[in-house]
Amino acid sequence: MKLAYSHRWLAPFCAVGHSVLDRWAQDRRGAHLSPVPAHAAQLPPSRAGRPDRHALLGATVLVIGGLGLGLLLAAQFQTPVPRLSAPAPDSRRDIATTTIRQLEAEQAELKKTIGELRVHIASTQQQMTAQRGSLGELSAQLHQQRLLAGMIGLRGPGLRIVLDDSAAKTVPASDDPSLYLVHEYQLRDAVNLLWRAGAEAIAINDERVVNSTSIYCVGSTILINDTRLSPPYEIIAIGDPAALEGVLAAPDALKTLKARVKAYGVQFTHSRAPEVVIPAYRGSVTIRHTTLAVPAARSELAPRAGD
Amino acid sequence: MKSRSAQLTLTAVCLVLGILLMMQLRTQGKLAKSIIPESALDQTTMISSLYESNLALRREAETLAANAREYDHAQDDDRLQDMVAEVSRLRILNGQSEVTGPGIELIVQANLRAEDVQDLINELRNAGAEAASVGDQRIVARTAVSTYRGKVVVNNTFVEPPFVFRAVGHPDTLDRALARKGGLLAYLHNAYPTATITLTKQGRLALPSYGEQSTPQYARPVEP
Repeated sequence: MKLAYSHRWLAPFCAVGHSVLDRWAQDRRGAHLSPVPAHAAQLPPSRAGRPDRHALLGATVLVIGGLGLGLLLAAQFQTPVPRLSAPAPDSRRDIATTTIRQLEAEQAELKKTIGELRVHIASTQQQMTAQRGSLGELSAQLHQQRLLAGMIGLRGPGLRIVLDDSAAKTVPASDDPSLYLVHEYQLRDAVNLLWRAGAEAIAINDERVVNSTSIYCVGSTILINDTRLSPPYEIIAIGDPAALEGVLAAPDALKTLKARVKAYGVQFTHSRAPEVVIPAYRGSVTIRHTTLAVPAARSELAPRAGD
Repeated sequence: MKSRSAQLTLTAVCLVLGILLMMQLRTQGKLAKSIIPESALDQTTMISSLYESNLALRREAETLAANAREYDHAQDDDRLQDMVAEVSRLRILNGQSEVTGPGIELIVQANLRAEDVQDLINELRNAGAEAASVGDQRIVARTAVSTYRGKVVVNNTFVEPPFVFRAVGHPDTLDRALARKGGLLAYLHNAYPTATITLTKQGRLALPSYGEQSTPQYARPVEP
């Protein structure tokens, strides 16, 4: 009997354990005088009770045990040698083995890196999708606020108003010359009325009227958004042209101005326009001392937990 | 007795066999994990295939790392923060939120006319107010002042005396601008000799927000 069993051959043998041993024992029944099940210890009393068989049984057990032992020992020694071809010389094999091990370690490391990067990218993409949502929302908010703040040029139907100093060539000595001029408060009154009539945007000589805009004068010079203006003053408003014109034409509106138009020749005209263009505010916005009572929380804009 | 000793022998042999089987099984398990081919040809094949696959893996890892960097950059948290700051600034400017800050408080105990209120608002703007209110009305660009049945109307809401003007900004600057010689306060003292007018610097003012929300019906943005 050849004892050089390869481990491959033995594998199923081992896997099934004792039941295989039983079968193995039974396979050899023909070679022996008597069947000897491995679980002889549990033999029924009728068979175990026959004394003439005891010696035979003991011998069989020893033979089988020895065989099995030998078999396994042999198998154990033979195990690591699947002799398919001639082995490489030792030194070369060592180098090859080391190289393979290094390459395998490198492979494991790369796979780990790739796995981690994929996870990172996936979570980043998810975050980006959520952030793009809030970015879009934020852009819309920003546009809305810019529109409201006068930071965007507008066009639309509206009213064009022109105010100018009197065309009179000479001022009688008895008259106050200021009665012949356009004053900053007249512009202020006109602007106030236009807002009341639902104007959506107003500009005076291309200076957009915004929240910080004051209309005042230094000497006889009118300043708007800290820019010096000179007559004629053209006020442009976007809104319902009829409503805008109506509020200016109302008898109790701009009474002193209208009186001066009549008495001193101050010029005041207005005309509806199907489309006027109002430029964006070009001045600075200084917010240094004011804070939102409820600050815009960053978390409001961050992706929600469910996203 | 003989039967008994046979049984014992058998048991012992089975035990040894069992132990050996287990050992065999374990040895095999270990070997299966680290089997490296023995033949020079097989080793060469394995090394070259590992080398090739590692090359591909490294390329993949590099591509992924580049993608990850790109994504990280594209997130652009700074831009988001800038936009949040700009929205906050404009919300203050547009009176879209309640605000707080130092400034001045001007209380005029008199039946002011709409023009006076309008001029005072203009004066506050000119003095450099970052945010202002009269009564409980926040002043915004489109704030209009009018009179209805002898009462002052601001933002379509009645405002009654005493008129309380609040302006957020540098308190000293605002105070100096309003109290200057020949300024509006001097005019008010002249126009309303019996009026009580008090101007005080404030460390912290709280201003309401502008209630109305309107969407433009006539105005369209000019295309850039």
